[in-house]
Amino acid sequence: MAGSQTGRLVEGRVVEPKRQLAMVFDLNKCLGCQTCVMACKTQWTREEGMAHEWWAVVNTMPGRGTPRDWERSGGGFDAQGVPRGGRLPKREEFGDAWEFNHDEVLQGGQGQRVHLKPAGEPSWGPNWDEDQGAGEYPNGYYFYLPRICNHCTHPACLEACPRSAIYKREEDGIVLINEESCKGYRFCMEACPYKRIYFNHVRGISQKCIFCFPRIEQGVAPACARQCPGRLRFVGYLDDPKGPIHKLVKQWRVALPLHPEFGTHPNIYYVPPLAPPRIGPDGKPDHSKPRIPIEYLRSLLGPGVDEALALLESEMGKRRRGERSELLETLIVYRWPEQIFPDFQRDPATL
Amino acid sequence: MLAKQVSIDAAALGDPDHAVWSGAASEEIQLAPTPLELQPSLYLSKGPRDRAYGRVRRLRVRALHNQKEIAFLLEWEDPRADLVPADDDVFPDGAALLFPLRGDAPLITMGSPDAPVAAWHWRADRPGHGRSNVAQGLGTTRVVDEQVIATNAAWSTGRWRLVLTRPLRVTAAEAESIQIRVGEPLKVAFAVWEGSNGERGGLKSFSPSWHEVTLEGGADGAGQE
Repeated sequence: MAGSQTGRLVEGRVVEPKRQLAMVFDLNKCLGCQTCVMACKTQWTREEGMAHEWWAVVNTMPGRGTPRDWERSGGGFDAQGVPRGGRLPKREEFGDAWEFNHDEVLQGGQGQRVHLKPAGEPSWGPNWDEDQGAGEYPNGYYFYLPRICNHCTHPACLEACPRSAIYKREEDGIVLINEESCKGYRFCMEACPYKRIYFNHVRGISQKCIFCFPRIEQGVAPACARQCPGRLRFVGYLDDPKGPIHKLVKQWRVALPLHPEFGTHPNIYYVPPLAPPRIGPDGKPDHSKPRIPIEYLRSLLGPGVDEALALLESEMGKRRRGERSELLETLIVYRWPEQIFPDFQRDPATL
Repeated sequence: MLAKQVSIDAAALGDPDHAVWSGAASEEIQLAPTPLELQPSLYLSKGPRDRAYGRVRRLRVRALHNQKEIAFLLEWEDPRADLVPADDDVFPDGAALLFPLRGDAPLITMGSPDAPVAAWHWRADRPGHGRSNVAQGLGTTRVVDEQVIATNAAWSTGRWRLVLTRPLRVTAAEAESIQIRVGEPLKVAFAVWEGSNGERGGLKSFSPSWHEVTLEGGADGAGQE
């Protein structure tokens, strides 16, 4: 751990872990229910100073996200691997922790007159852009983008910490903050281009998603993945050719990293969203161009998005013709949990 | 710099407004931004910084002792006191003294594996006590004591006045703390963090060379009462 070079740039090359755990999120299955968000919250961020921490979020896209405008906050690395400057968001930009008048409504005998509401006037929240979307009727569009720490192959946070308090595990590539070594300098928050690190003001340390490593070590899938009602969060090792992760990312290349231009090589991959056809002026489907502008999807998921969408369309064509599609059978997940996190099927209730 | 011997107790010594300080010799220390290329962080050593750090460039230092405790009075200009870091992008003001635990400990890297340094660290959001740290290179500071260094900081009209007081000798964590003797010269260096400028960790201003403080008095009893 201390002194480990894993995840660091050494003599022009990033030192990779022996194995890398990854997730694939199929955006065509995300219903924006926020169950993953609550699963994570109840599992990990209920302690002192963590009320405002949402290690897992689901943003509605297009939108400004969590924290607000995180995509334009800098950080990561340029094409030459040189760190780019980043900015530290304020608590308000993350949404902070809303305080509700629970006592007044539930304890004061005024439940008929006083309604539950946040104190003050919140100006942002974990999914402030909910269902705002973009486009004009009848061709509006939106989709959900679940986000957690990307457990990057070249983590900008790890390269930012002058105390080596952030390390990448040799055995599975999970990126963790050592709370004993962290001094709360927040260079990691500045450097992370995905802005998935929170500051605990009570303890004076930075905190983030831990890929549920204590569950992983017991063969249990991360809480966000296991609790997902849409069954869209695949978990596994990138190098396992039999597992869904390798197939979706490496074999079919239908799952893509978010903002690959940030240069950190993230290990959360996304199956890009399809959408219903546009409606033309005559009220009929217009297949001449997609409902979700392809430029927008390229800006999120890189140039591979065209081929990924084309493959999804052609595989769906196979199904319409009554043929089999291994890709769609993988994405649909007929058998849960063995098809979605084959190495982490254990029921946490059995622990 | 001479640390005069005075006969007042530690509480009085620790008061930046005590009249005794007006008789203390003072020295103006020039500070400079720390060299970021030495930082054990790719982000800090190679990444761009979009604003000047190491904003505080002059520090006025005085020292006194009473044969049992030594006190340093640090004064510097700061238009705003940054106390409690209430937001993610807000940092408190701070100051520190650095002492070599071995004679040849390097200042620029805050010690080395073979030659540790001791740091007395005050932060505006931790009133009353400074932290006693040991370091064996940049990024390795470790707290060894949180009580033995008393601090008293006052900010008014654009100026911090901070006194750090500690017994000359300490028994707890003895090997990781500086032991100070009357009559013997003491090497010390200084650092200041301007919180409103985002300064924390290695982003600070520091005195690029050691300064010498001699405690008045000595084994021959000269200056002792």
